[in-house]
Amino acid sequence: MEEEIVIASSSIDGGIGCWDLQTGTENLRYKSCASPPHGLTSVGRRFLASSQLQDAKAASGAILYWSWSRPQVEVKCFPEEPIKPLVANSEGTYLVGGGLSGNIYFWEVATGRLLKKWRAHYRAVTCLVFTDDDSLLVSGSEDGSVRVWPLLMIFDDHQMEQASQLYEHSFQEHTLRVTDIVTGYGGGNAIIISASEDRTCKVWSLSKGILLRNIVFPSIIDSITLDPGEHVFYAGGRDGKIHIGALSADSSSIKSHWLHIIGSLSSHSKTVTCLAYSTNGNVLLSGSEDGMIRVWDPKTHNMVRVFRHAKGPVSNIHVLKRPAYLNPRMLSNVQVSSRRHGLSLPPPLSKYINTMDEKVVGAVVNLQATCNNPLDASCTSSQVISSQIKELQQQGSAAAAEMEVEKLKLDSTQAMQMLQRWKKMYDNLHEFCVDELLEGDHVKSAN
Amino acid sequence: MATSGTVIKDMYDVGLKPRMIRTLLKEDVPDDKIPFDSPSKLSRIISCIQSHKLLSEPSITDNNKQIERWKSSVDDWITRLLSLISNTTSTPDKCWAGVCLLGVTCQECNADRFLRSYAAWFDKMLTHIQSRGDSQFVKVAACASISDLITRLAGFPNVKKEGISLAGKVIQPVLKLLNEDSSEAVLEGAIHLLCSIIASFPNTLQRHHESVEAAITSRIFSGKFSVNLMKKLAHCLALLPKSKGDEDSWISAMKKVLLLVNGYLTEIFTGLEEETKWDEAVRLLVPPGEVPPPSLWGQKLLEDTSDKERKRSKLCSISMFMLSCCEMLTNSYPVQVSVPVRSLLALIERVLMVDGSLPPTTSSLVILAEQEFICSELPVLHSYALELLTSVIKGIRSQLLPHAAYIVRLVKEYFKRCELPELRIKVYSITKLLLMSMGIGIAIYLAQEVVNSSIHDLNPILDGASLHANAKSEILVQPFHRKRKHGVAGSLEQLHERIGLEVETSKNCPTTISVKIAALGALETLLTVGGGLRSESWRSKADNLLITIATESCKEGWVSDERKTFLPNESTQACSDLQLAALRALLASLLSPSRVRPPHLAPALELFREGRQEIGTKVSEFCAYALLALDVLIHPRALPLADFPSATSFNEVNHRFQENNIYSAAQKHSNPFSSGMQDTGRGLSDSDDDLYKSWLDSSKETGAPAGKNMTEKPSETLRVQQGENIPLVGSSGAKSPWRNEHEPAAASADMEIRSGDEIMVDSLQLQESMEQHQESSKGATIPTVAGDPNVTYVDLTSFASKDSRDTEMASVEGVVAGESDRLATKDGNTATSSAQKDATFDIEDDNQSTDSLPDIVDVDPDSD
Repeated sequence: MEEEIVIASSSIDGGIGCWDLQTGTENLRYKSCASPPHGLTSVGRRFLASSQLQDAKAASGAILYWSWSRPQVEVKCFPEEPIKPLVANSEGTYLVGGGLSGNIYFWEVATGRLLKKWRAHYRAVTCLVFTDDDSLLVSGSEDGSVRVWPLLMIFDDHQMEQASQLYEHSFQEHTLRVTDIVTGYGGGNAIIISASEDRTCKVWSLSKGILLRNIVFPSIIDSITLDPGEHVFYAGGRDGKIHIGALSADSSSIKSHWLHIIGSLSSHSKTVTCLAYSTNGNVLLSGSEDGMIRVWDPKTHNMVRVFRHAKGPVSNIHVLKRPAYLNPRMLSNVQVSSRRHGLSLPPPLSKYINTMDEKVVGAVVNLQATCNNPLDASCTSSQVISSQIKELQQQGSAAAAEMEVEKLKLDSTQAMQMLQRWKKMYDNLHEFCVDELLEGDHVKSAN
Repeated sequence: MATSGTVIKDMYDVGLKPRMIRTLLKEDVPDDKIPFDSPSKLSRIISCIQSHKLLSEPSITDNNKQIERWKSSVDDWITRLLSLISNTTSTPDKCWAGVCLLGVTCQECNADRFLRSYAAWFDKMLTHIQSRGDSQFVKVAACASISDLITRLAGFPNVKKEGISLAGKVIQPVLKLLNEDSSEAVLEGAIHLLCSIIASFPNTLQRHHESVEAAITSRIFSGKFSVNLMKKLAHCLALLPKSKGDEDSWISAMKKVLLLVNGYLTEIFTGLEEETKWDEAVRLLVPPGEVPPPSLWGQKLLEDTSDKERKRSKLCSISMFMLSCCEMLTNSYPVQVSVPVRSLLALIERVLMVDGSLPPTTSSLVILAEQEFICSELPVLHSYALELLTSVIKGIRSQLLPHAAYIVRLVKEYFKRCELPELRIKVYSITKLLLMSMGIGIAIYLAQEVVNSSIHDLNPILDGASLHANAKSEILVQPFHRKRKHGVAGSLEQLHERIGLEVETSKNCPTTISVKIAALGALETLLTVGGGLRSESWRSKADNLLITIATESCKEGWVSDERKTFLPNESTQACSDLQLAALRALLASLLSPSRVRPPHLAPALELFREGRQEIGTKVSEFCAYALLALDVLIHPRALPLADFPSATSFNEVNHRFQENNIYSAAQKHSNPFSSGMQDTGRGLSDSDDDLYKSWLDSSKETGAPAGKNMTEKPSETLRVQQGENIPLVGSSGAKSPWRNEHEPAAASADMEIRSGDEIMVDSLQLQESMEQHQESSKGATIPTVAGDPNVTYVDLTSFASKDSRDTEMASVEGVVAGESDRLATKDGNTATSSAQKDATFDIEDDNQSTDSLPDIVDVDPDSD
């Protein structure tokens, strides 16, 4: 099983903490990061990117990159406006940021180009998530709306002119700011759960675009995460509790005052700010306003580990598979291989859409072998031999005939040589006999 | 011999191996004295060596006598081979045998021995490549053996330097082979050797890059080899940039190829396309301000010839260069590269859009013969263009997103025009690829097209009839003649009669079958990826089609795929493939989420059960898997990952979370019931067609299978709410026990969350009958219940008119709270119509509402 790491950032500058989830040891701490909620993301597990909280006066936003191997900020980008939520698709080819103005920015990571920018909400975008097949983007906003964007449609200029709106669904039922969104498993059939400051979590059907369930909580929910089996979901409240909401679980027999809330985990003194679920170890992680990250066993509702991150509130937690570059054994090779494989960090994200370079610049792709080419099969000599044997047996081809001729030629020379030898032998014998006879005659005559 | 006396334990005995080697040496391997009479001897030797692993003695030297003996016998083996190769007096066939066996030895011998002696072996074999007089057979064998040696050498990281120097020595002789007028077999061997050098030690080729490129392209341009060799040349050309390994050489190679192809196409397509295409291509490929080179690899990009042979060879080069592009996109490359997607796509579109027709703008300068020539060659070009599109999708992966809409349009457009089976198969596979790579987002776009095309290709009625594009639009309508209400059905039946005779003859044609298989595959993928989202318009069509096809294809019995090993009959193979594809697609249609319970579950289960009996076939394996997968559908379960302290009891209201609830739309409204009813009406009219059809189908087509189907027939009038007789609203009795656990849920007042498709159908009935009842009772019409022991029919007679309904709407709301009407009881069955309440009503009083809202309980032993 692959090891998992936890990364966490805070809304005051505490850097990005990075722990090994199994052993609890802390890895590098990446410096100078103060990210808003949902502002930290790992881009295809190649590097970390985070949007930064800015002064209200700041005209442009800031997005920073860290490579896994160095604690310093390596790339700084300055988008048009302050970006709050930032998310990358699972392959790490695109970064999407939500602006304060309600615009969504869509960048290509490899080139840093701003591919699209569109008006998504009336007020600031608060959270962004991809569905699990990366083809839809779900955004939540301060104005309480949750919208589902088919990315194909966003890039389809042709269709855009005809369609009245870009989004697939727009859910308006939340009355206050949307604080968190998660999407479930199952492509087009997934559910979307959104939490809002109106103290509700709402479950939406992606395929039908309707509200499936509305759950009222005793306090405002700031963060939610799904049980991997989508049996329940966990909602971190401002009352310091992690409430357990029922999805497919049976909630009727619970004598709870609140409908569909089947329990809670609590020991937090302060607001639960973010949640994450590790499928690997089957543990729940929660970040709190007091700067602690608590690891829970969801089965027993016990706390199993605590990481101390910062003095300020933890704003993001992610559980990731350990990237190869963090492995101490690999570290020496990293520098070499990262340069060779083009894993050094990409250029910063551009501020505006440049229509000019669209024609010239292609898609920057890391080509991996996708299909097995039969020509690459390593051992071919036996193949060649068998085909040659076939050819020989059929006796048809010129090459086979040629070899046969060669063979016959050699045979004939050998035969000639043999003939010569025999001839010589015969001559010798003849000579000998003649000599003998002559000798005999000579002796006779001598006698 | 020393070992001859010892006893061999079994076939795995180590002592056996040296003895076998010696026997081989004594009897089979030729030398000066032993003649090499039959080449089949060689294959026997090789198979003996490979199957017994005769040459890979363990390298440990713990004075084990047997291993020592083994080693020495391998030594002898190699000495013999080397003498065969280097002996000038041995005949070429013996020499050839020696080279072949040495190649096998390179693969088979143990690592120590290989590292000790590879250099010597290499030199011996190299002389045979270099020497002029050697037989071609020997040359080919030497190329193959050296390439194996180099490939193995690349596996040892510590001899990299030696490997590079070794590979460097081969390049000149190989280039000579390439440039000489060698035979095809030798060329192939040389190309293969070159490819393995690039794969193993790419840097060696760096200095020779240009000359190798020139040699390969000149061979491609000559166009006089077999397709197989041409493909290998294209493959090698695609690998060449790896020898430099930087981004620039990849891009420049790609650009050169694209320019060349575009240039050639300009000439070949003269008169058949707009004249601007070349300029467009150049604009995309050449940075602004620069001019494209007039010639590449000694070939003019734009020239005018009317020589047919020249044109044919150009067409062949175009195909091969496109293939080379494909390879470049799908092979791995050490660094990131920037793929010129737009110009690749422009090229693909350019080729695909030429269909041989003359655009109206061109003057009729193009002679008829010219057009005929191009038309005859177009399928090949199209096929390679589609291949290129496939590679673009594979290679670029998620980066394709900005171009996806363009590709979708292209594919859709091409789907409409493409008629050749071979090309349709390719388009289907591209559709599959797109669906898999872009998921639900692209399914929304492509669904209608895939369904329409596959209906066209799969439709059993239209088999063998060639249809033109304008006829296709008619086929979009459900092809089954059961649906008589469609106006088109009649015309389809006529068509059926007209071509009725043809059906039998063309049915088993392998190409039609493979198109069908491709269509089924695309449909399966569509259902897998996007069965749930916005699928209302096509879903029931697809479901119906699939069950029909599956039943049809399995009707004539199961084709055993064992038989084909003895009778390599293509059509048998194709038939069993078709069955498999049909069953796979059927499974996808059952599993893909939908609003109602899959209507064809029972016949499908029957098919899978039958199929499973055919032990030892792929179909049987798949059927077993399908039954396993369907188990979850029949026994729904949502198991928690961790245990939660909640007792599950069937007696209590079970709030299962399910999406298949069409009524949850009503929840949005603050005034639940009155608007809920309107909503219901709307929801019905949105989905009713499908729902209605599926009910009809399930009752008619499946013929009341396994007692699970309900004989329900909501009439049109129910929805239209006009004064007519309403025949039946009810649900059948014979429910299987497993449904009981859901029963309470239907009764539950919580409308948002309900479990199972079954319940939804139930509650739909409830709701309808309830509405009917409420209104009809106000219209002073007494509902009557006609029941028999098994089925409860609720006959609801009509209510007055539309006007009165509108006024009554408001009052309904007030009645909701405790609304519950017991209609009738007969033979111990209770038929009840109840009002469904909104969740907001009953958060506090679950029990009370459960009591007051009974569901339809038919012959239900548990609830008695």
